[in-house]
Amino acid sequence: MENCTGLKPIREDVDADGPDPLRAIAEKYYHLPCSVMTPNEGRLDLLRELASEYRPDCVIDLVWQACLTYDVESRRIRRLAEEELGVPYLRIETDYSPGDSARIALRVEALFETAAAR
Amino acid sequence: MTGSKAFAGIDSGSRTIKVVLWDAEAGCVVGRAIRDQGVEQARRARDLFEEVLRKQNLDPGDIAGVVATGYGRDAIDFADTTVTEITCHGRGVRQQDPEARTIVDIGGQDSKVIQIDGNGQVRDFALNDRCAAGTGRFLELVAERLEVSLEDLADLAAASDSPSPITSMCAVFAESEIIGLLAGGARRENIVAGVERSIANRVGSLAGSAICDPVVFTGGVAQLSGMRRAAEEVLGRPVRVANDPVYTGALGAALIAADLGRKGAIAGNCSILRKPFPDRRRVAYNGQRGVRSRDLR
Repeated sequence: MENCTGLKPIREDVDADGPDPLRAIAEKYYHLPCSVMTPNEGRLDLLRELASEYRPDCVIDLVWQACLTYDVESRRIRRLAEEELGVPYLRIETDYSPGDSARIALRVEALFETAAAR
Repeated sequence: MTGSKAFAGIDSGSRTIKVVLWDAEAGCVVGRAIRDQGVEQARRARDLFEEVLRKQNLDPGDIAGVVATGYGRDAIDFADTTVTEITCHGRGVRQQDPEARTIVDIGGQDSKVIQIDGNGQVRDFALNDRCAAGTGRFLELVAERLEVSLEDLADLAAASDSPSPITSMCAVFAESEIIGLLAGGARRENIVAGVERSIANRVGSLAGSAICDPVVFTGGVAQLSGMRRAAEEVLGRPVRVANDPVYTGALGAALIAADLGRKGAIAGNCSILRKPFPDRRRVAYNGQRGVRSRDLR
């Protein structure tokens, strides 16, 4: 959910009443907790927020292949999931091809079994 | 046997199918068998299961529950439910070696490193399933290339004086590398030892730094004595080989079937002979709603 096409871009509205619409759009983009930004504390805050809202049993960190900055941040996400939220964490790196869907399904199924055992 | 206290675990792996029967009352394995995997996975598994039952003079009605695991688990139509091989290995190892905290499983086409807690529950896992390097399939290719049987690989590696370096990360390129080594006059013994080391290296990088002792080695590849040595060298710590490591997943599945049976979660109506394709009830393990991997796609 917390990814580029999920909740991340729609949590904040563009200021439609401001004097300069271009500036307002730019500001909204600037606030996105995207991993290309540094420091990017906003992403962890957003995850904490979502976690208290949705109370997840596990965290799946989806890293698109070639999104190097998400890849780098996965260490912090793992720490947040395991140490702070106390739920199992699974990192999946994939692209849009379906070749690894069976292997991803195995990982997710095993994660659910682990989460259910807690 | 009377009273339906036997449970079956079926591990339909990428290279072989394993069946283990567990007598929950006596607390021991009462039957098991292994057979090569094939095209008709469901039929092969069923034939093997029936063969094990016949050998033990058991009827399908004597089996109180069946759990399927492994790559082909969803095809096992007579199983009560399915559980991933990751959870099954954790359960199987807990039975055999309750102290274990890390499982290294090298199978036919993938390798896994699984961290478990004191109750045999999976804490974390890492899988290498993208290529054949670091798996049993690689060893098969090598055995074929060196014109020896898989069983002889272990003896060959033991006679190595200096393992040949195999640096390719891909089994196909590594095979070319081996052809080059052979052409250069390298001894077979050293090539095999080099291959074992390269597989261990793959698993070592999979494991990373988060390895807790004791480490237990499972899966078909653990049967080669040289692999344990290679794994110990790479991981820098002692590695124990599970008893009959090729059966660990199937044993775990049978034990989970028994766990479920004790909770009354599976009724024990193994209907393999009564109906050709019985509807499988989805049964929760660990309170989880049954999820089939095809539901997740």
